[in-house]
Amino acid sequence: MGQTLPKPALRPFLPADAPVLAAIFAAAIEELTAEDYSEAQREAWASAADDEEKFGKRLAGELTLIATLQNSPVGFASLKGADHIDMLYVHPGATGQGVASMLCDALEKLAGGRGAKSLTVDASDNAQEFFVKRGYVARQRNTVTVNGEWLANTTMQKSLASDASKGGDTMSRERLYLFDTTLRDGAQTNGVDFTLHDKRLIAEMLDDLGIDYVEGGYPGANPTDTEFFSQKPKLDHAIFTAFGMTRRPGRSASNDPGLAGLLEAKADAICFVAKSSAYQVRVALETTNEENLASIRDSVKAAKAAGREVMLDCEHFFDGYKENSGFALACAKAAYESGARWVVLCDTNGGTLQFAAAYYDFNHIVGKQNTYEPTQTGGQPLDFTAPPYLQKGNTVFDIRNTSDQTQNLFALASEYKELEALVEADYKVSPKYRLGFYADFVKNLGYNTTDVSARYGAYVAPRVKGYQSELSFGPI
Amino acid sequence: MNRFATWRTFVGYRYLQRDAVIDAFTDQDYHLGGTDAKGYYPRFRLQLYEADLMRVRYMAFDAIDGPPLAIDTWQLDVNARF
Repeated sequence: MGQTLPKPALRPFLPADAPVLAAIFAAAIEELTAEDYSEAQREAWASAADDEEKFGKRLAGELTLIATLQNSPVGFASLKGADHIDMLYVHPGATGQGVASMLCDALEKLAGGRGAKSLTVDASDNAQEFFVKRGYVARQRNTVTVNGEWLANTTMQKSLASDASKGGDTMSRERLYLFDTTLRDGAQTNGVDFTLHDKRLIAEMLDDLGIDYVEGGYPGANPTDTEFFSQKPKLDHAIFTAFGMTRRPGRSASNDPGLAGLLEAKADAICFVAKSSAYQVRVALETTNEENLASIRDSVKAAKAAGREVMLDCEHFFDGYKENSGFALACAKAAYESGARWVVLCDTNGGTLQFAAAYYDFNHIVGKQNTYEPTQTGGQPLDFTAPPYLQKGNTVFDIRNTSDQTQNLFALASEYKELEALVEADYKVSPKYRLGFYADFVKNLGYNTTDVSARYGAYVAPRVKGYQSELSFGPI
Repeated sequence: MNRFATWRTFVGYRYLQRDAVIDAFTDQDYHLGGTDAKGYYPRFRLQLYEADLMRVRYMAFDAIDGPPLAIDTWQLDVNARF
């Protein structure tokens, strides 16, 4: 077994912790700030903890968290009011283990929970880099006088807008969120045609399976999806999500019927799709990069304002990143900064190729010849072997023993064991056009020429193959 | 797909011998249903905001082995939303 580093943990402050925290406070100032502050300055600064009782009261008067390593306190941080970090200190022996980050993460969440829009801190010079990395921006330079010593620090501020929008959700890196697209992507599969009832049932089943997000479809794309979104299905915990495009170029968000339909949909979340490749924006959307970014921002903001959780699918992200990384990232950032909770980097590629095979074995499908004469009482007991519905084409035979043709009853003469294989391909032939190909082959392996000919009363050659192929062309 | 309107055009060929599959379960549009049919079917689809607005399909089918039976079908499907 390899040795693993102990992980820091958090717990709230208790009055009995004051002496330990005072020691951490003094040690941190003494050993970690020497590069930026003189000995006299450090002494004056650390004197704040000389009176342990007073120091304990200060900690108790704020929301103080303690970070521990193997149950021993190694750092602490306190939140003053809703939006100010008063203290954040880590013992010099425990630095570099993510303790400060963990404390800071927690305070940011707590501040968000208290409704703060931003968080400030008066950072000492040695801590400034840490806060900059976490997204804090310097606002003003301050000087404070402690015990006759002059000390400088910097007021730094971080906007919590995007974090606060997460609604105090306990996000953790270990949690994997599942987003299911069966009701949209799945519905685009050849041969699949969900009814409204199907969609409701599938959504409920996905919810039972524990899926976090159930994408219901594209309201406005077809009558079924529109109706599906007119009423929220009964889901226990899954977040019901509508899919759609960001506002069209050259239109305001409030004047785009597609976006309006999406906002009207009875869904908890909206997943937007937008292009994040400069090339696609220019060629397929025929608009400018700036307009594309504005479309993302406006749409995300509009959805956010309508109270929806928002996510953005960045189409063509990887191709786009290779071509113009700045723009691809700007698309993702525009969504995030406008309040999107999720930004999905999509590897949209030029084509698809799919194969599928199926085998259908039908039992009790062959008709059975009645052995009674029609005039006998008891009649025709095997009439049920004739199918109630036939179209035309299959080899059939009369299962009634009669020469009276008006009394004939036809049933299938062959077994059916159908083996089917299909291939479907879709290629982008140019940035604007797509070429599709589909081919389907089928063969009935159940056909036995001798048996069929015997039932039919004459030789019936095997005609058991079929195929269908289709070529399609159109804009992407 | 991000356009106001988009279209797609198709051309297909279908060839289905009489005992390849159960005729009762075949698509009722080609040769008006059943097996023992072969033919071409060009089709065209016009979409508005990804919703089908109009579909046109022509299907020219003949019997393969059975007595001559040619069935040519035009289909026009128009959708509207209010």
